Amino acid sequence: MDHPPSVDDMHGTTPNSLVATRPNAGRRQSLRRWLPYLCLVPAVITSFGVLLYPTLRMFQYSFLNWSFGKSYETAEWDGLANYQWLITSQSSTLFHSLRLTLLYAGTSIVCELVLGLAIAVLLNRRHVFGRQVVLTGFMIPTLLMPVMVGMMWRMYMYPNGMLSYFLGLVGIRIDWYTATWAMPAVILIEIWQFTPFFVISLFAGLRAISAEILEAAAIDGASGWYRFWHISMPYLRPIIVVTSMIRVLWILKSFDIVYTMFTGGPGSATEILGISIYRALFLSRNIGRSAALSVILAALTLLVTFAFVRFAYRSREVMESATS
Amino acid sequence: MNGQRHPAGARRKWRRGLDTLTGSLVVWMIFLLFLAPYLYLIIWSFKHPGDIQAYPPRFFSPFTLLNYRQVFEDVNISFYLRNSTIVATATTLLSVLLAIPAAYSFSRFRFWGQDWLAYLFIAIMVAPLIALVYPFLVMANQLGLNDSHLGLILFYLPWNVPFAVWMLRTFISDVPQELEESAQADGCTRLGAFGRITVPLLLPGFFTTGIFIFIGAWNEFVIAFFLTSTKARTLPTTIDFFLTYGSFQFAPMFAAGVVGTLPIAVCALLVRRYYLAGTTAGALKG
Repeated sequence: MDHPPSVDDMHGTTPNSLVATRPNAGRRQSLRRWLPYLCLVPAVITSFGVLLYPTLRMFQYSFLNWSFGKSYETAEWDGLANYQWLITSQSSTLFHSLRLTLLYAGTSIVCELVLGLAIAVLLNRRHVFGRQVVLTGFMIPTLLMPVMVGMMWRMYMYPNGMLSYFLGLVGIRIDWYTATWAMPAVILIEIWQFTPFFVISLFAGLRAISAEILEAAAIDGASGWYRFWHISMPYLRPIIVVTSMIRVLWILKSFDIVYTMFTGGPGSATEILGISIYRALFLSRNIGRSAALSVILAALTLLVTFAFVRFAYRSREVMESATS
Repeated sequence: MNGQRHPAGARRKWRRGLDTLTGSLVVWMIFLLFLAPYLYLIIWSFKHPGDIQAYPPRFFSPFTLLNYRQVFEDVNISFYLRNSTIVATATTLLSVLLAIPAAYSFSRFRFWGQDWLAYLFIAIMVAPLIALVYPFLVMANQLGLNDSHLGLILFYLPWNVPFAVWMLRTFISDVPQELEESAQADGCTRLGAFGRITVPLLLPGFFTTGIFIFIGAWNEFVIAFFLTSTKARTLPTTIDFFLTYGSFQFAPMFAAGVVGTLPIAVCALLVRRYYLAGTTAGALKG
């Protein structure tokens, strides 16, 4: 982190003469040393402290042969059996979920990126009527309650709903509530909800590119397309990577929308990891397996976050100039 | 330049105007396409149940508040609104208050292990909610916090406190340290300098951070769904009523959707300037 060196840094560890002659200088000195840590205490207790116990429990449960109807006392230690079952069993949906998540993330992020970039470029033209209104309006989908978004689209996509009507006008008839179309429906909703996020962050990136460079390139005879690929794109690349990573994180832990739209069905057509955890817990009533799935999800999330943090820190200047 | 008089200049100007017009038109068409589902929800919530389910859709039909009356009288949504407001407000205030010292520490001091502690906060923030539902359930039962406001608030803190630390850290860093130092030189204590000089300058930061936390807590479904049943039930979980009551009830659903999302749409207007900073940090939140 890039903080300006504070006064404490410079004098804190080597007491200057003025402080040293005071009677309680020693106490002040140690307070100064511990103050940064003391300040962290309330936040650490309420975040780390609250989460520690459930997290340890989650790990512990994942090694137990334990399901509902069986008391905790009688649940026996089962080693890695739950993980083994998830990986090897025919009826395990782990790999199905992972494949779905990959498809889900890949398709939606590519579509969002392409669409978002196109809209951001359109918005970045010299004059656009009501640009601020459009930008503000685009913030709404991302902030809406996911459950309500699921509900709204459920009504929108109903066989007698609005979307079916509009698609019917151009001769397309899709029943979204089938195993084939359920996942595309989820992806469509995702695209609807998060393309605006790409639009706003890419637009901010485009804005931050200095007009002089682009003008200079234009004077040198670079075509619009050339300018876009060779000047704007390299600049946007870190923003694209960071935004996409954020989306991967979002998708990994998504639950609400799929739950309200399809509850993982029909069959297991939309059974992403979050839904798997839910189903293992409340349908199969197997606490151990659900916990094992949870551990896998948590590990994946941490892995992506780690990559994200590493990358975001490396391209911090770009991100900061774009997000502020 | 006398280019305006010149026919070529006039043509260029005209072409640029046309360009602007078509560009704006395309942007607005895409924009309306994106807004359509939400506008549909809002407009259709004011139609009679019969008109709502009509196919082909009835675009022009009499206005009614029937659905809203049903939602407020039969489903008693105001009770869940109240719960949501209590939980979201308390979570917001507590998270911001608890995060201030930590954010101050991260932005004003340099200390051993600083970066690792910052990573720890991120790691906590990304913990996926759904993965922890059962352990939370067990914990809530042991503490007697099942189906209570306090339980929800307590379990929202681990995600929101690190988020607030993350956000406030940048806001505090934006206030020049020299301001505090000169106040300290004039005889203020460290705390006094922070309280009198920095805090007033931080108000927009508190506000923005708070709004994002409020939105998150207001929208949160997973924990609220599994940890509450009757007393502390929040608005998002009421979705279940409309899903499970025999056939899927359209009409009141529209009204409930509007009631649940309109406050958030208003919040979006309030945090316009900080949307990116907030969503980027908030994205990490489980």
